[in-house]
Amino acid sequence: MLNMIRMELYRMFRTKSFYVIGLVLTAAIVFTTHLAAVEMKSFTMEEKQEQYEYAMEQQGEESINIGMVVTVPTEPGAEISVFDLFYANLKGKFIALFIVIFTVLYSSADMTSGYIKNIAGQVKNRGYLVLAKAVSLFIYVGLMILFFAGVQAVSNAILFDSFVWGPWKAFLTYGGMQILLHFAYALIAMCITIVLRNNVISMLLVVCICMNVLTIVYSAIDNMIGRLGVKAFHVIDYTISGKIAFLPMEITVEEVRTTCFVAIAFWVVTLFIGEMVFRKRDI
Amino acid sequence: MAEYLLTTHHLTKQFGKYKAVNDVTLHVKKGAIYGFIGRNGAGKTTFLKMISGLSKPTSGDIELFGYKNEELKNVRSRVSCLIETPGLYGNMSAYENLAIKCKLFGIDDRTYIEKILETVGLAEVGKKKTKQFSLGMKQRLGIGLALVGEPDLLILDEPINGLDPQGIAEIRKMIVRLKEEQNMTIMVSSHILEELSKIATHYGIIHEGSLLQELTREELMLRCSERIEIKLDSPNEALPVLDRLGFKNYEVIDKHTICVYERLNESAQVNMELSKAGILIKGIGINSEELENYFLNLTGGANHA
Repeated sequence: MLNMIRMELYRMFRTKSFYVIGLVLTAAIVFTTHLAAVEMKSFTMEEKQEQYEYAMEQQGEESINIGMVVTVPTEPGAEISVFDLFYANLKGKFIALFIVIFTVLYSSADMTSGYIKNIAGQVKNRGYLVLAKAVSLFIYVGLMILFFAGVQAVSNAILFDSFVWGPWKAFLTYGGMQILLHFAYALIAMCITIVLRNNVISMLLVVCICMNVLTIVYSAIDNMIGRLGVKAFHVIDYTISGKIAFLPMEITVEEVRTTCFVAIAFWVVTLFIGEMVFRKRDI
Repeated sequence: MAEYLLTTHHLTKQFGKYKAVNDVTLHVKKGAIYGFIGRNGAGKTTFLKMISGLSKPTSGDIELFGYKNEELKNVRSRVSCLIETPGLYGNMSAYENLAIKCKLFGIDDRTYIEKILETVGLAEVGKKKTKQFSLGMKQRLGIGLALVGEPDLLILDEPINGLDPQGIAEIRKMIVRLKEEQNMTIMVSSHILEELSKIATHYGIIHEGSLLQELTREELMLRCSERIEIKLDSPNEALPVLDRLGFKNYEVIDKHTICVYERLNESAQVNMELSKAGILIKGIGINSEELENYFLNLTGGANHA
């Protein structure tokens, strides 16, 4: 198993898309931070207040819009911190989008290239290859979010008049929770890729999930459950999409618990399906 | 250790109602170069995939190094393969492609990879990406990948497909070298018997999913050599006559044919003695067969090729 992980890591760090996606992310973060800086400088106090209120409303809402919305949650009069933009980009699934795109490319590369034929027959349990891939993806997600935080910090330092990190403890807790959730997202993407064995459809599906297209399905389920007499139940609260979007900047212990529970539940289910399908299917 | 390194028992692979491999019982001796011959679509690749662990049989057993069923996973690492086209990461170099598989085997030695590159004649390719390789180079790297971990059984599925004569000769030399230097057992599939005949020590002929024949090189050469071919209705009645005449090297080929491989100048006497014994001869003559014709006749004639 350890050798499989070493093999997957070696491959991951030599994958072209690993660096291309990192570069595109860097450019995107610098560009959006620049836009945010220009916008905030041009905003009146009322406009800042409006934006702040909108961001605060979104934190408490239990529904999300289809598409990608990134709103900076900075109080009027305060400086935009690294944490503010870190929070806004993660919540808006901007980083998740890059992560799932890489995941689809990385997870399918051994199958599309045919390299899997060189190794799959020689391992004791083929399913372990999926677990090794998952470990690599966990490292990738962690690195990607750390890298994003770094790029965001540098962009803030360059593009804003003053540099503010934001509350450290909340920053770290939020980042940690989002790593768990984004990893679950990556595992969903990997599972879809393994099951479908089709890059285009897999990519389309995971991007749609990132764009909250499944909220239509969640609403339908909520309505059905509502008709059964269960009120105030929202499926989205128990999904990775919902957790990523609704996780507040100041996370309570209860929220840590439910976030971990949802993330781990998705890890287990996606790994089980991915491992089983890959183990049983002919190559 | 059993005589055979690989044995399959009634191996079958079914896709829906179609049996791609049908009840194949095959034997590969240790140290053999086993030529697995069949036309395109005969079931060669499906069979080799099952042996390599890439595909599960619908029924039947595989016995490798004396291990069967669940125990097979203990010896899977000793069987390596190159199935169909080589599976390579196009954006990586030959070295990196090999290094990935080496990591799986816990090998971190740079010289190990360099040695494999040398073995397959790719020592000079440097950092060139494999997507820029010629087909021959890709095939050689595919074999190189299969050599990682020093397998005892190497499975090569149509390794000469699409290669020019020089490329074919290189692959052929490499296979012979691997057998001689590393005492590796090699199973090579092809639809070109002529090519396999230059290296194979044993043959298995598969057609429409079923194994038609297993024979050694000597047996194949014998069957293709010059012989007295006697066409008659009941070969069994003729055998005592041949014994009485002192013939030892003969064979009943099918329900209507006997081949005698010795004293070829005595065909007239054979004819006369069989007639005296009241056996109706439909035809007798000296024949020989090209390897390719032998294969084509066995698998249904040249018109199907």
